[in-house]
This record gives sequence, structure tokens and C-alpha cells, in this order.
Amino acid sequence: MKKISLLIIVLSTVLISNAQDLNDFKGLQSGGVLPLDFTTSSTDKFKTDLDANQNEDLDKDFFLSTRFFIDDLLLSGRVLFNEPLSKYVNKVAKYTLRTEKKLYSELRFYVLKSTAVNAFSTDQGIIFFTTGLMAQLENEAQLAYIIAHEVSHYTENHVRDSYVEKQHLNAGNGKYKRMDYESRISELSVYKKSNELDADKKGIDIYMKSEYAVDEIFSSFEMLLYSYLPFDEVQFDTAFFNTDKLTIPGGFFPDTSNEVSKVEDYDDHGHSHPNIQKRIDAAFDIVDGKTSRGDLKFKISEEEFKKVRNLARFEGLNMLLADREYGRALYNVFLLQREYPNNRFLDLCYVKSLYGLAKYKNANRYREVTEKPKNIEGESFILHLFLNDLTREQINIIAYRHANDMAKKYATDPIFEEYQLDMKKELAIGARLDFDQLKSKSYEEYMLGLEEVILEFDVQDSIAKVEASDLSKYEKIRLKKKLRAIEGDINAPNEEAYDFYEFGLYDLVADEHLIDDLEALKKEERALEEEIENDENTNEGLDVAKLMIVDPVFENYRINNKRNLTKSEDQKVDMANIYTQTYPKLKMETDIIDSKLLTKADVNRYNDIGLIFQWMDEVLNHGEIDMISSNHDQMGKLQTKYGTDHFLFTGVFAYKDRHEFSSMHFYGIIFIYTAPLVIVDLLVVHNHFEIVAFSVNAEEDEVEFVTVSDVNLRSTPKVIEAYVYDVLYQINNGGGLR
Amino acid sequence: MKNYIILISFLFVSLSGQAQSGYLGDLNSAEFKINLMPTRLRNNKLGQVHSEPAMLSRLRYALPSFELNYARTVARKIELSAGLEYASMNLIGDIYYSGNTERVIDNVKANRIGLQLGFKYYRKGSFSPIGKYIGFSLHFGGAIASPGDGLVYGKVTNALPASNFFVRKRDVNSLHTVLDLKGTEAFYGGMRFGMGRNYPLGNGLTLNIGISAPLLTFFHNTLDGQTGVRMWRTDTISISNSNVSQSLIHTLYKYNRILLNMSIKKYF
Repeated sequence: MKKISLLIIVLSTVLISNAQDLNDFKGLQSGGVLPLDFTTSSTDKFKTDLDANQNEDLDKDFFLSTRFFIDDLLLSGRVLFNEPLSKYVNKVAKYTLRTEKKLYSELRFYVLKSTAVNAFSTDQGIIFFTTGLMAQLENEAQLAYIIAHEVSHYTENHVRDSYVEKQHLNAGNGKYKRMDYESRISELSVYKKSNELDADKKGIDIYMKSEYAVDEIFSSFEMLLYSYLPFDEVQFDTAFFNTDKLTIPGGFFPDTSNEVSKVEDYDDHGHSHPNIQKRIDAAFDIVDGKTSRGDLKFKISEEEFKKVRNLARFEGLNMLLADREYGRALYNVFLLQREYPNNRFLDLCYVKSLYGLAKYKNANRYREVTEKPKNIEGESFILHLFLNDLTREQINIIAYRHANDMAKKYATDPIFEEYQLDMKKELAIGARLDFDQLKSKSYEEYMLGLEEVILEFDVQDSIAKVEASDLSKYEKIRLKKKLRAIEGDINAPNEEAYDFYEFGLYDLVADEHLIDDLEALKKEERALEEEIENDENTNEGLDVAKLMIVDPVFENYRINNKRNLTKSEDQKVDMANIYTQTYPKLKMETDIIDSKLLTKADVNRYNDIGLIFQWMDEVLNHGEIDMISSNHDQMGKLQTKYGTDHFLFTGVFAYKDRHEFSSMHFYGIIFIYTAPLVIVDLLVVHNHFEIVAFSVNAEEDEVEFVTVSDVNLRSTPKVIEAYVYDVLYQINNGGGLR
Repeated sequence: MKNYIILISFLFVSLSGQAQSGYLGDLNSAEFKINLMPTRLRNNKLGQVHSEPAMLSRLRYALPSFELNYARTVARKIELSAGLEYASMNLIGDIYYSGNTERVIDNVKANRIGLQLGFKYYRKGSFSPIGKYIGFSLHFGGAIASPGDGLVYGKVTNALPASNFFVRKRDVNSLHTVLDLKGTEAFYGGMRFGMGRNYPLGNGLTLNIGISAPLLTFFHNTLDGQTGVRMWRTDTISISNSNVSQSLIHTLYKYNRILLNMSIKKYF
């Protein structure tokens, strides 16, 4: 029965994960069952691998640090398996290594959700490829070469050898004996570069056994060289933000882009990798004289490659939005909309990006979410410079224009409506807009109307009347300035000079009473603020019926400040049990998602961990800005699934230390009777721990409860239990800072 | 004055700023406490060595007293308690009679019963009732000597060779009985400062280990009506017929020095 239910889970998750519709893209999620790499405890991995180790140069610390570090990554919820990307990578790897069946069976290939362009292997035979890399690939052959390169790092034991080399460096043994620190680091860099060239060499040997084109080895290097640029270089369309109601004059955009400056032969001093030119030269030497078995760019499937690459690019958008890189997200939307016009997901990302920019602009934190144009190379420079120069009014109008239009386009889609309503509120309050500036006519109509008025209006005569009037000097200056501006507009209408934002919502002002709505929202907000000011009892509890605890952290440090990894893992599991046990006096239900308690059927929970942490990270970064998080729609599903809006993130950090000699100790020794106490105090190892907990509300996208305690006690399970109870109690009874 | 008010207001707010959770939700507790006063004093008894009367002075490592308290968490970091304390005492130490040639040979028993009111503030990240605390307590009570045959005193020799570290033995050269202490009462009151920590044991139980020291103590006795702060700096006192009850106060004082305490608390 258990096996049957497992099969059903596997089949359903596989079907769901494979049925990814780009129009309704919901983010990449792993499927099937959790591999053993995810369900074996780090302590077990460490013990097994240490017992099996035959290399005397590798110490216990190597196995401890690597197993726990890689497991932190594996259990982050950001690793993809049994879904289209990793399946495709596995297929290419299987083909590339088809003559090395035993080697292939030792390896596991996973895809890591990250915008960085990278691939890396571990000494355990796990090879990671980032979605950022998958998004940049031009063809399957490039992927095959990167697989071959990473596999070579594994077969040549580069991870293990690098560790041993670093140990020698730290200890100053062997060739490092008479070197100063700088020279040692430089020598290590040389060592790492030689490993890379070695992996290139062995990788080419593997690659040449396939039917992929030799040229793609070199194009892989170029792809890596320019991987800091977006996945395509297309001139930005200055009409990208225009609609039939909003026109941004072309003068707001620069005429030229910023040239791409990076060259193959860059200075690689201090880098772990040789520069691309050196790698290309070395590769030429290796390839020279070898016979190519084919010139294929695709062996498995071009169609599947493109599908997978697009999934990676779509996922990249999710990550950029969560990382608040709204400018980069907009450029990627621009690129993807060329292939996928009218795509709901892209439209939503478009709205989210503009919304995020407006929110941060209004909060005077715009620099956090925009790029410095001087740092941007290539075609996206135009967009970044445009965004950089936008005023608060302009970005708010653009954001609301599109939020409003998209809400109409997707009239039955509540998430678009949610953004439209919140953006309207932002326009009313956060944008600090002078509503009178908003025109009820389009620019063209306005100019026509103005001309008619002006024909009957003698500007010079009016100026003369102003000058002759009893107005103050300053009023005269102001009025004359306005009159001359009108005169200038009439005599030489300059399309580039007008501020488009005033006309950007003209239809809504004219037909939908936008200004009345904005006034009403403003009034409502004032009333709410007054209500909050008058509410004296601000320390009420949250009255949470159910709380979801998300992957609690337990870090136990030794007296030398090194983490006791195995103990930390045990204590983490203990703490998970403490959080979920029943407390009769607590009117609160708790549930937990703990990465260390996952079983192979818990793949959905694993995906949830990734999503929740991405969401939490974004909400924390928004801080005081009251805004809808980019994962709000996805989190809505988890709220329903777990039956709560409240997600608690918590951790215990336990330390040991000895007290340093202080003036109190000195006086304690002088007063001879307390000298023994002073000596005991200095010799005894003192235990203390910090317990941190904060609850984030998924409905409101805000941190609703925070507590931090530094406790001078040993972190025994019973003590932790008391503190965990206290955290849970404070949530419902008014403790914590909110 | 304004700053003072702000400071007091801040302290008050910071103390009561968070709701009190107690120990797994329980705010009330019953406590059984054992206080031990570490000492090297000796307890004198009239006994025999080789069928001859002798004064046997046994070493007392610790003088015990007991408390039964009720405690309640009243704010996040504050616990208040009230209870009874009891000690079965022997008159203790070297008590001389009328000068320094004759000394009390047989220390009679006395019972001490009192009330205590306690205040604890949990510090260094601890919250009531788990973790480290400092506190103050007020103690009031009295001691009454047990019925006996009177206070036995006499002349004794130096310690005999048969003595050891634990029991010192002296031959008794002369033996007298003076005023019977039966019904003699002495009253005490005072304030103590304490610190310690509460360890959770589970099932609503905690273990408390602490130390306390008297800040101020005063005594009153029924015979000579003397009241005041007593700060004896010696273990030896001399009494006479007119102030024989001083021996009781002396013992009360001894029981009131620095105490180590250990208690078990049951929360409900």
C-alpha cells in the first residue's frame, strides 16, 4: 500500500512538473522522489566517507566541511531534480559519457536555481549546473563540453587535491615554506588555474568521443566570457513602455548603448580560472591533430534544448524579481516577449517590475533596485539609463498605467487586480502626486485646445497687465514665467520637452474618475493613520490559530568558534520536535517543514522550502516598504495548503567562551576573598545561546513578530523547550517587536 | 526629576513590555527549598570518654533550613514568592559563661519558624521562571528553645589526644546547670540578597540552585529585650545570667549567614 501511494505521488508530481505551460509559468519545481543525496543525514555521509577514505592527506575536517556545506545547498529547496532541466542535463551527460558507464553511474547531475552562470562538481560525484548557465547556453554541444569539464574535475580529484594544497599553504609546508602570505595566495591561484587547464584537457578528451562539433568547445568559452550580459543582445525598443494611451517621447532614451568592453585576454592574476584566451589557446593545442567524430550542435534534441533553455530564462525572471533586480527583469521581459507576446507570466513580471520600481522610488530606496548605468554594458544600457533618470511622478504613472491596463487585459485574474489596486493606492499616497497636474486630455488634444485658447489670448498683453498690477515681485515672476512657457509651447511645440506623465492617465482621469478615487484613497489613509495614532493598545497578540515553522536552524559552536556540525544537526532535529510537540496551555497548532526530516516522498515539501525562503528573503529586503512580494501569488497556494498565513523562521545559535580578564576580575583578586571565584570565572567555559524568531505574514507580506534573546544558559533540550514555548506564546500574546 | 521619571517609566515598560509565558504556560508554583549554610562550627554535646563525662564537639559542615513557598510569575522577568521557613537548630559555637573560663557544654535544641517574601528578577536573556536571576527577600520569624534540663556549663580541658578533625573531645572538670532556656524566644527580621538559576527538568518541574546573603538583620529577644543590628565578627560569645538568651540570638545569626540553596519547584 505504501509503495502504491508512493507511486501515485511520483506519477502525479512528474506529470505536474512536466506539464509546465509557459503562459502560466509557476516556477520550476522538482518532481518524483527525493534522491538519497537529500534524505541521508550529513553526519551519516561524513562518517561513511571518512571510513572509506584511503587518502592520508585528507583529514576529518575535509569530510565534515564538504558534506555539511553541500547538504546545506542540497536542502535549500533551490536544487532541481526529476524535472525538465535536470532530466535534459542527465540525458546529455548520459550520451557524453556513454563510453564511461561506470563513471556515469557514480555521478548525479542537478540544476541549481541561481542567476549566476556557473557549474561545479563535488568530490562526492554531484555536479551542479545553474539555471543562469542553462539560460545562456547556445546549443546542446556547449552543455556537453561543460559536463565533460566538470566530470574531469571529479575524475582528477581536483576538489580533494585543492583542499590538501590549501592545508599545505596554511601550514606553510613544502613549496610554501619560505613564502610570504601574498606569494602563497598567488601560488595557490596558479595551482587552481593548472587544475582548470587540466580539466579542460581531460574534458576535451571526453568530449571528442562524442559527435558534437569541435567548434562548440571554443564557443563555450566565449559564452562564459560574456555570461555577465543578458542572455541576448538586442537593441532596446524605446517604444517598449508605450501604449495607445501613454507615449514616452524618444528623447528620454539615450541614442547609443554602452560598448561591451571585456576581451578574451583579460588580466587573470588572482583568479581561480585562467583567462579565456589562455583556455582557448590550450584547447587548440589539445584539439590539434585529433579527429572529430561529428559536427553536431544537438544530439538529444534541439526542441527539448530550446524548451529547457526557455524554462531557465523564465525561472531567471522569478529570481530577478525576488532579488529586486527590476531593471534586469524588464530587459529580460523585453527579450522574451519577442518570442512570447501576450504571455501572461511575462505580462505579470512586467507589472511586478514596474510596481517594484515605483515602490522603491517612493520610499527613496531606488538605488537598491536599479543598476548604475556606467556599470552596464551592451544594449540593456539604454533601459537602465532611462530607468535611472525617471522622476518619482514618471515611474508611478508608468507603473499604474500598465498595472491598470493589464488588470483589464486579464480581467478574471485576481493577481493583476491586486497589483492594480495597490498601485492605485501608491499613486494616491506614496507618489506624493499633485493630482491637478494630471490632464484629462491626451497630449495632442491638449495642445489643440491650448492653441484655441491662445488664439484668443494675447500673451504679451497679459504680461504687461501682470507687470502693471499690485502683485508682489515674486508673484509677478511666477506668473510671467507661466505665460512665457505657454507662449513658447504655442510658437514652437516641442514634443521632447513635455512631461509625458501628466497625460499618461488622461483616459482614466476623464472617464473613470481617477482623481476622485485618488482623493478618496488619500482620505481613507489619513483616517487610518489617525486611528492607529489613537489606538493606545498596540501590543496586542496576533491570535494565530496555526503556525507554520519553516526549517529551524540550530548552530552549535565550539570554544574555538568552529561550528560543531554533527551536534548542530542532531540539535536541529531535536528542535524541530520541540516546535511541533503539543503544548496543552497554548491555543495554537504548529506544523513544520524541516529539511532534515524530509523523506523520499516529501518532494512537494522540498519545493515549498525553496519557495518560502525565496519569499521570506524578499519580504525582509523590502523591510518597511509595504508592498506585494513577487512570490505573493505562489505563496497564496501554500497558505491554502498549510491552512495558515503565518510562517515562523527561527534559529538557535549556541556558543561557548571564556571570559576575558576585566577590571572586575582585577578588583575581585585585590579583594582576596573573591579571588577563587575570579579564577573559577576565568577558567570555566561559559555557555550562552541566542534564540531568534520572526513570523512573516503571507497575506500581508510583512514581518509581524520578531524576538531575539541572548540567553546565558546552556542550550539543553529542556531549556530550548521553555524558550520555544515562550516564542509561541509571545506570538499570540503581544510580545515581540512589530 | 524629569529624567528620573523617564528612567523609572522606561524600566517599568521594559519589565512589563512582554506578556509572561511562565514555564510552558504555568505561572504558579509550589517550591520546596533546602538552604545550607556551609560552616566549620562545632556542635557541643555532653558525652563520655572512657566512662568519664566529656564534651564532644562535632564538626558541622552545613547548617540546614527548609522552606515551603508559593511563587508566581507576575511579569515577563519578575517572580514573587511567599512562604514558610523552618530550621531545627542546636545552639551553636563556642559560648562562654561569665568570662572565659567556663563554657556551655551541652548545646540545647531550638526551632526556628518564619515567613519569607521574595522578589526575583530574571536577567541575561532569561525570563521568569527559567534561567538566571537576582533577587531580594524579606524574612521575619522567631526561634524558641526546646524544653530541656537547663543550660549545662563547666570547665573543660584542652582537646584530648583521642580527638580527631571531626570530633574534638575534652574532659569535663566541673559541671553546672544554669537558667533553663525553655520557652525562651528570639525574633528576627531582615533582608537577603540572592542570585542563582532555574533549570527546567520537564513535567512542570524545575531545579533551582542559588546563593543568598544577608543584607541587614535585626534581632529581639524576650528576656533582655535587646533589639538591634547584630554584626558579630567572632564565633565566640560570652553570656551571663542576665543575658543567657543571647546564645539563642547568636545561633539565629549563625543560621542567617551566606546560604547555598537548592529547591524543586512544581508548576501548575
